Amino acid sequence: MTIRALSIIACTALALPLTALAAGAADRDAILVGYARQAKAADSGFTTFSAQRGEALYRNQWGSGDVRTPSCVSCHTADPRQIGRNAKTGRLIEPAAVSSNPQRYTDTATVDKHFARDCKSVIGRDCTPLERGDYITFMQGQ
Amino acid sequence: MTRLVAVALAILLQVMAVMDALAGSKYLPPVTDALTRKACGECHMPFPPGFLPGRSWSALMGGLDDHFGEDAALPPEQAAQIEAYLVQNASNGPNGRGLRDFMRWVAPAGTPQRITENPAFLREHDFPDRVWRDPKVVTKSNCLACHPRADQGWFDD
Ligand code: HEC
Ligand code: HEC
Ligand code: HEC
Repeated sequence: MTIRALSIIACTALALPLTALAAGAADRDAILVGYARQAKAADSGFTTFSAQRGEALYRNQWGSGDVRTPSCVSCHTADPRQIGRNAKTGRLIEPAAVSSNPQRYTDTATVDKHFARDCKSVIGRDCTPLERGDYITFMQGQ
Repeated sequence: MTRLVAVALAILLQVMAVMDALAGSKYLPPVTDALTRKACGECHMPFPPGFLPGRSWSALMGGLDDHFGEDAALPPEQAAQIEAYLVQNASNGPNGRGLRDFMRWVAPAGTPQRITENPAFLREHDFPDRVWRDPKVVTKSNCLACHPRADQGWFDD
């Protein structure tokens, strides 16, 4: 094999994960743009999402949903960079933080399904577009 | 000579597998259908279909919107495909295989919804309370906490 062929292979191997990361970030941004549009429609005073509000949502002990899951922390753990555990079934859950799991919040169907299901389990109702955007913004910085 | 040893070994392994199957309670074929593994393996491991009769799987699949307190509803065509797979491979299914000591507790028309309420399960798992309160276990249905190869169908460790 020539040096040239080798270097092409090496470059492709290096570039692949980078493009995957970039694609992940672009998909996440697109989801956030969608939630921002909905948040604005619901409240014309909306400006930007807040990681701080997202963290409060994440850590709050709601106690208004299923008794086994008073908080997002019940399954995704106090440190979202760690592996979580489903408080109803014991099954392990990949970290919720984007830094540990770059594929998080990149597939609209998965994201919508889990917000609907997990918010109902914890809070007793679905999360609003504002809450969804805040949550993802918090996880992006984790 | 090496060939002879290899053949003998192969036969021995076969015999051991058959004996395991006759003892009947350590291995059940795991879920192999990709859709079922994904849809039914998200909140807990996908339970081997041989643990329940086909009518139990049909009843479970008919009530996914209130699945042990969870909303596990699926698009109808996916639910139908999964139900067909589970029924085919159920303890009494055409491609299925059950555990004799589990199935003898199931009434001919009974539709148990839980593996973990079967008397055979309860007898094999008669542990002190502190075992069930271990934060790594959480619930009896968390087979993987104690059987690390449960995903591949093995319940021997
Ligand atoms: C009963 C346990 C449980 C609780 C409580 C829980 N989650 Fe989840 N969550 C899960 C599981 C399981 C997944 C899917 C895991 C996977 O894809 O690896 C998930 C995934 C998600 C996802 C999708 C992630 C992705 O990959 O796109 C979002 C969004 C989410 N959860 C938000 C929340 C929020 C917000 C809360 C609190 C209001 C919460 N979760 C509480 C179990 C839980
Ligand atoms: C949204 C999460 C979720 C999904 C998706 C899900 N389940 Fe469950 N399942 C649960 C919970 C929670 C329990 C109760 C666990 C407990 O109490 O030990 C359960 C329990 C069960 C049990 C009884 C376990 C026992 O105690 O013996 C069976 C059987 C079962 N599920 C089958 C399925 C099948 C088949 C599918 C796919 C169509 C599925 N589940 C999808 C959450 C889920
Ligand atoms: C708290 C730990 C624990 C949990 C959870 C658990 N098991 Fe077990 N199980 C055991 C132990 C210990 C044995 C006895 C092993 C032996 O005798 O070889 C056993 C035995 C068994 C056996 C009989 C094996 C034999 O040797 O005859 C089966 C089948 C089985 N378990 C299935 C399950 C299934 C299915 C689940 C989940 C629905 C489950 N177990 C959950 C600990 C557990």
